[in-house]
Amino acid sequence: MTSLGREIDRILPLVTKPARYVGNEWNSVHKDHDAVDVKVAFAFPDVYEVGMSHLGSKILYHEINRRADALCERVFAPWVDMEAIMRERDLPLFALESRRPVREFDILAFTLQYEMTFTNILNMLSLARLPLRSEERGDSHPLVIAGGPCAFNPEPLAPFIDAFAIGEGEEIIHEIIDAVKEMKRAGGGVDRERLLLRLAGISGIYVPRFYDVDYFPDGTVAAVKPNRPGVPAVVTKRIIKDLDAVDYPTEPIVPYMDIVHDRAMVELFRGCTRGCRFCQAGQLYRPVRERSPQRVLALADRLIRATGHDELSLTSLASGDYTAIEPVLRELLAKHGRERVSVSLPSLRVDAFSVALADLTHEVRKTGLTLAPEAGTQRLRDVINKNVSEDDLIAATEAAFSRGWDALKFYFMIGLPTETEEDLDGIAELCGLVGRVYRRVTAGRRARPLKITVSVASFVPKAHTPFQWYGQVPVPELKRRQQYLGQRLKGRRVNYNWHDANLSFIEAVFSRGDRRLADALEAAWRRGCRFDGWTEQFNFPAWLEAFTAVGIDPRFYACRERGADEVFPWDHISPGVSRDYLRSEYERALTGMRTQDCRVGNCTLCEACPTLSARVITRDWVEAAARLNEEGRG
Amino acid sequence: MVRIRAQLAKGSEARFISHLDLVRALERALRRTGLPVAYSEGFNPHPKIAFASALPLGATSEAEYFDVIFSEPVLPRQFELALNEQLPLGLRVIEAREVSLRGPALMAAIDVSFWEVAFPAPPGGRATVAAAIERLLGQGACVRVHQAKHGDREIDIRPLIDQIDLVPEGNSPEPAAAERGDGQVRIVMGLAAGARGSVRPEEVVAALADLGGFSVERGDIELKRLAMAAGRGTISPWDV
Repeated sequence: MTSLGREIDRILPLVTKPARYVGNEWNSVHKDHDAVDVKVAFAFPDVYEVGMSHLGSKILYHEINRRADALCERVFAPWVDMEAIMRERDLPLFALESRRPVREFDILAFTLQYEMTFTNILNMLSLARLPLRSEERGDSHPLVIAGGPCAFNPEPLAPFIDAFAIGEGEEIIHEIIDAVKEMKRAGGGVDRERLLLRLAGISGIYVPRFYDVDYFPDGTVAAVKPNRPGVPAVVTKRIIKDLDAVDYPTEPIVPYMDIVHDRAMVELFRGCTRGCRFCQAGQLYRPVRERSPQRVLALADRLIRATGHDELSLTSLASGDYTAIEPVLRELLAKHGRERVSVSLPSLRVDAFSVALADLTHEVRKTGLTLAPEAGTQRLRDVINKNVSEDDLIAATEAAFSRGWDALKFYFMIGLPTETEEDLDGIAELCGLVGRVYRRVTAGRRARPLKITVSVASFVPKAHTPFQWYGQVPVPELKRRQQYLGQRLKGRRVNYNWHDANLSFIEAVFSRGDRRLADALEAAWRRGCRFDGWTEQFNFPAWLEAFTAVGIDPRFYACRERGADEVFPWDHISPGVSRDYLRSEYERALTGMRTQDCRVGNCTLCEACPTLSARVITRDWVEAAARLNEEGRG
Repeated sequence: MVRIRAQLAKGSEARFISHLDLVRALERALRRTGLPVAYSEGFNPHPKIAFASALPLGATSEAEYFDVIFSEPVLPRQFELALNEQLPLGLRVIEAREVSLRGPALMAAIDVSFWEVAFPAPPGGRATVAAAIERLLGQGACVRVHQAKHGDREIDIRPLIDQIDLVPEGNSPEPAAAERGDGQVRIVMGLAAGARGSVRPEEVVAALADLGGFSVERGDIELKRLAMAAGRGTISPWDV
């Protein structure tokens, strides 16, 4: 064991949940550092149990470690008690598998899942004893890269990260490793500037230092332009065109700890074209690409054997939309039910079909049924294009109650564009309606009282969505609406909870922020901000102090309605959907016009398919796929 | 139905895995073996695995015992080989035997646990520790204060201590001693376990430190379970 390893063992008795830092789990990969060319430390800027639940990280860990010439080890954000002891004893951030300092790796790769983990990134760089800013790092330091959904607006992190990988990572990670390997092989060390220029030539890589940002006197962006030849004006995301053609982690690490999603996961498909206007994932992951049912079944089988998990989750943005969901589900239950493996379907729609699917899995009985109508009235659901009608809701709950469920959880958002008190009243009325459905369905039998939980988030407008122009409702008004809704839900036997509006405000600042925010981020971190997404760690006063200290008004980013033609700090990063399409969706939203899913209705001209040269999704294609699935099943 | 008893070693690679996490890891490893583990009845069936005793977090062990019930015949040797292929680094079955289905639960029978504890020698060296041991064993009672959620609780640990012995200097395993550096004191103790009540070995070290006027940092205590037994040390776990 290294001496650092011994020091770590000495401090583990002093921290909560030491299993977070142990790293000898089943299926973890331990390679000889001297036998590979490129060493990658893959960093998830949150605690172990959150990071270990993330499918994308498992995929990249597998992709890198299946190469003979590279290794990948994991790093998570040490919880505050661990950080305190590490700093007190002067221990550097280390990778779990080898317990070597992160500084000794060639690449430090962060995944960006949530804006409120950004301070953790600075904290991890600091614990790794790396200079925070890209320009301060030298040729001997690891290359610091980042990817994931928040990389689609990378600007608030631009000064800290050397290069961003935009889009899906299975192919691009190999291209990055190849580039580093070649440079190391050529001898004479890694010339940082040359390496970055080389990377900037790879499709999907964004190197912020090669772009200059100009601003208008009013503070809005005038232009973002490459500052040297060979660097693309717009960086378009990478996608995997055929999911059956890429590898899948069928031997993922089996954690000792009880992590957030402690189960085997098979990804059914990527993308979602339902077109909910608030949803960033719906735009970022287009177009829809499905795994074949045969491959899904084969992967499930291998996963269960290799992990020993007793639960299998069929993941995607809307599992019920998978063309062959029902036959696949039936087959999995028939095959693995005997082995006492349960199957779960996250993110189900609000309709009777989905309830029937959930019923098949028996899973819901344990957890209760969760539905996300998002808004309380039909009018507002049309605005956000959440195509769930009151009839759908009645049908879904009727189906659920008649199958014996008596617990229901609703997700709503407040602060959506055009929202009025009537829409908040609508949430309370929906609860009443569902209660009436329950009493009708259970009439004549002895039933427990219905348990309804209403969970309300404050809407955060995100980049690359139709609502990217929208000014977030200011915090005092959000709080007033939270209270108003609380009043309306009183006496309804509803368990009501809501998210901290201040947190949603900071999230809104960074989700549509620019490079100048980097100073505020660093100032907040220097004031002790970290784990901001954890309510008990979130320090709003420190954030306000930080903004004041660097002379930035956070409301400029969060609450300002942006001009139709305003240049956005993220315009040079493209998920494939066009800005014109997003704008037209915003305008349709404001007039309450819905847009159909392009798998059912007409092409919505979002341009993702042609831009990414993917197969254009048409009704013919959907029908053909359905036929194929039928045949595959027979 | 078959009941197989196993002796499991927990090495330093797995010593920060809690008891609950260890049980889950074993359940998953057993599922991977494909052996016909029996499940509990009820809504949320669980594999029938029963441990003799939980090991404190941070301790290693040469003697964790657990029983597994199988729905169909399984040979102990087959079980041992199959499970060892599926266990993570730091966990290893040393031995497995079939035992009677009708025998008592291990947890109810085990009443002594034997520990080896090592910590940096205090000022005055081994003599200081030897004197503290003598004082502790010579006392009729040793009351310690336990901090609990609902106020502190006093507990007399003396009746829970069967024996404490200082390990002679020449007896420490050399490679480990070299890695750790000099100046380790090693003691072996037999402490009550199970229905007799129990005391954590670290608590005994803390009592010794208080009596001897020295201090030991928690991270510097190395703790290893050497064995456990029933019948006040007279009955091996295999014969329970």
